[in-house]
Amino acid sequence: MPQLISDAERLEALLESAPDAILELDSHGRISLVNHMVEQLFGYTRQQLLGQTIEVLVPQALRAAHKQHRAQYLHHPGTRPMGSGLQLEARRKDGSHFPVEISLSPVKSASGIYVTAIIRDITDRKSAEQRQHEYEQRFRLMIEAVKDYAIFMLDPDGTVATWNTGAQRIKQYAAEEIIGKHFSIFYPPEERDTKPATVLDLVRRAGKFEEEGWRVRRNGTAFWASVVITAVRSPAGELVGFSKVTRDLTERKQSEDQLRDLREKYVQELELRNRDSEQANQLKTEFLANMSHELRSPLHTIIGFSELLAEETDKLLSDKQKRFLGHIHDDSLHLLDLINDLLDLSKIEAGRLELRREPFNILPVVEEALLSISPRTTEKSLQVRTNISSSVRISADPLRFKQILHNLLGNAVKFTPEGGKISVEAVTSDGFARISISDTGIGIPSDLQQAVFEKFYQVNATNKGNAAGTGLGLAITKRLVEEHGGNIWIESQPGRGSSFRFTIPLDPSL
Amino acid sequence: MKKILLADDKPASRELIRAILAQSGYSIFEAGDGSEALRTAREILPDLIILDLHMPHLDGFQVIAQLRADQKFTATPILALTASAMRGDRERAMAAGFTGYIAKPIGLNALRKEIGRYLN
Repeated sequence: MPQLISDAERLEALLESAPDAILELDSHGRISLVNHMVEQLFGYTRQQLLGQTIEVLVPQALRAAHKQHRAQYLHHPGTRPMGSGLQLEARRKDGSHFPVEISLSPVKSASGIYVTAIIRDITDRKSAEQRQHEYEQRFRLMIEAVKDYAIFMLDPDGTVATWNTGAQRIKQYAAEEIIGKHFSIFYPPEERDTKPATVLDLVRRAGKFEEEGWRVRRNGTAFWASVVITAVRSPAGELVGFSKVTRDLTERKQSEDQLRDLREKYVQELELRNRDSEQANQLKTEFLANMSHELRSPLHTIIGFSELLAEETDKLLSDKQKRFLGHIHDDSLHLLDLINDLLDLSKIEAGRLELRREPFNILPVVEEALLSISPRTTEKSLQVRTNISSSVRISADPLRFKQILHNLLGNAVKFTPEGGKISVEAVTSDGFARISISDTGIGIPSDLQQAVFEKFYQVNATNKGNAAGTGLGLAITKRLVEEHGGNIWIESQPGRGSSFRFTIPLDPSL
Repeated sequence: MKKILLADDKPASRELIRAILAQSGYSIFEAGDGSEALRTAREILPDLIILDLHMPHLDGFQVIAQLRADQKFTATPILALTASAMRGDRERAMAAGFTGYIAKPIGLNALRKEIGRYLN
């Protein structure tokens, strides 16, 4: 069964559950009614308040003024907020104050005029507003204080609206001089008529514009500026203006220009030097070619005459004299080898070795090389074996390939004792021919296997009667193999012999 | 007696070749440069000519060009003599019309054999 509640009870329930403090005053300003929220807000009990004048809830300093205002209100009663435009404060029982918003409405009754006041505690709202205000203040101060950047606002038509320290420093205008002037004044005279308008149009459409360019200061001097202009719109999308951030990059620009000039100069210088050094290289190569020709001519004559002398005096000279003549002949030949090797090496090192590659079968070339050393192998009773398929075709410079073989075979003969064995083998794998020249000589300890390829490295030839080498043969051989794209290495067991193995690319057309 | 014209700008080199061939029974004429070689060749019409490739003024290549252009020398054996190890010299020489190529240092018997090949 529904509970029967009277209108008066319902009104009271409404009053008591209202989120705002509601009280009623009589025409003398005495409190005649309060709701629960009043007790809660002000810290008084209902009994303590009823009958008191309303000033008990007003901060002491304002009580006198409040009385006057109260009297005025009674002369012109109406429903309106109290003290509009003022910041109202109320006083709690404990003497503390808090911000309030109050609306008043008169109630006329038989016993005179009553005033209903609805009081809302706006402490939370106030502190939020305060924070917002402080935030904006700090933000403004921060922007104003920035020295390195000119940060300012333009109105939608391009008029300067705000200014900061950076702007003053860079552009040299004081805020009061420039605010209200059109920003085209920052552009060089020849750009002033069209460029600023074009730029703003662009920002309106694209939202943002960035560039580096010349701008002018108040005194007319130019500076190199990095500029960012951004359209500023209200949350509704309406254009409020433009933010403009300008940085003076004159120094950077100058150092960049200087750097560029320096770089250009440097490149020119370098090109000049390159040309010079190329020329010098060319001259060096020519000099070497001429020089070696000049060195060899007299040597050839010495070699020829020493042979001729040996031939013609064969029966006339003593053994000692013959030996002397032999020294002249052998050392002349050695000197000739040295000159040839030096010329070769200098050409390789100058990058002037030109390989004339062609495809060819290695078997006949190996046989030819073996034939050329046969007088010496016969002399030392060396056994020579080959194991080469007739189908091994490589792509190489035939002359240089012969030189490689000749050097390696020459070494093998030199370091193999009488009655020893030399073998030449070739196998193919992975696009390369691997050619091995093995001997049964003294071998090379592993710690020396790299060193022998260095320039002027010489193993002491222990065999009597061996002419010393130039110390360049293996260095040249290694370079020649590498120029062909191959590799060379040694496999050796000291006391049992050495294998020099090298690779040369196979003829790719196979 | 077969006539050999030997052109080389170095006297010692000429004497060496003359000495190597001394017992071979040829009559040897010498020239110290290219122009002299041309003059002498036209005068004595040798059976074989040895030209050093590197001579001042007229070098071996220029001399042979003029000789081969002359009907009297189209069939004459002409040998190139050079100390240069520069690659391509042999090919260049053969392309220029030389009959053979003698590289220094000259081996005694190699030279005698080579000459003999053309003259006997």
